[in-house]
Amino acid sequence: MGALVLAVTAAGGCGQEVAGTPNAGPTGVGPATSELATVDPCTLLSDAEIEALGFRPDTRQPTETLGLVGCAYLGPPYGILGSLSVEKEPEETIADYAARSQTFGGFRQNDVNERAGAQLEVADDGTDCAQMVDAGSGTVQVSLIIREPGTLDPCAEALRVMQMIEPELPAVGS
Amino acid sequence: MSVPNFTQASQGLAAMQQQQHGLNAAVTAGDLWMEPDVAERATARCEQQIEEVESILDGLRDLGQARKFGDNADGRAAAMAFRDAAVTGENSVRGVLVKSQEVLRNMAATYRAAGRAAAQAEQANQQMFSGRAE
Repeated sequence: MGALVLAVTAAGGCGQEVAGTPNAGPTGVGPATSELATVDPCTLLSDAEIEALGFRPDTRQPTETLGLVGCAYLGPPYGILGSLSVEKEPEETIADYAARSQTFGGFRQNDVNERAGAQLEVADDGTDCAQMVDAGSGTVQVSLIIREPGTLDPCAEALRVMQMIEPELPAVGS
Repeated sequence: MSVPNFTQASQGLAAMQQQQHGLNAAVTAGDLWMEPDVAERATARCEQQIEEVESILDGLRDLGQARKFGDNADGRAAAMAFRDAAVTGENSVRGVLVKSQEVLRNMAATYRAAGRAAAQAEQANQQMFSGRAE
């Protein structure tokens, strides 16, 4: 990246150009923003794709829970009310979730299109599953909740959705 | 560690369920009917509330996953207790919310039936009067 040129004007009317790269200094918030910051989880699936998955684009609801940010959709996949969420977590990686895996109903590491991922169930009755993958500084996650266990496999469905959006995600660590 | 539960909310719901059964019995006995458009609006409101509860359930799942309690024995125990209270326990928030959806679904069915009863009564009256006019 080329050096930026900043124009600095002092109160006394003196003006001078200072060449260099901006530096947040010791009170700064750390490294440059991760590419994950530019990802909008609410646009990773088109309305047509949401509909094809059995959910209703008009139910789109922004979500923000303890660092998880994105959008949720309601729908009756196979006739049973449930929800689909697409969210990002800018700070936690698969390794971070793996470190506290015993506090979840289920946790299995996997790969999605050769990207490190994991499937996480909060309950242990087959009614919810999040397929997450590492992206940028954190993770992107697709969660599915169903009401009737056994009507479909939420982990398989979440994986299928993640395979659709994975090519749009930033490289790990970027 | 004591795990909070939502037994009281669950009991409140059971009382609501009882009331709904009473309403349903009144409709079945022909003691209660509703103008069809009123019944339709009441049904739609119940269905809207079922969806609102579903959105809360979606947020609850995120809470169960995102909540960090620390990477030590106490932290893990707190995380398990939290998950139990929120999602997996017998009287968890999720259990109460899912039960509330069931009550709302039954209420919607009762309103629909009450609207149908009124429509049928209206139709029967019309047939009776048109029969007399002939």
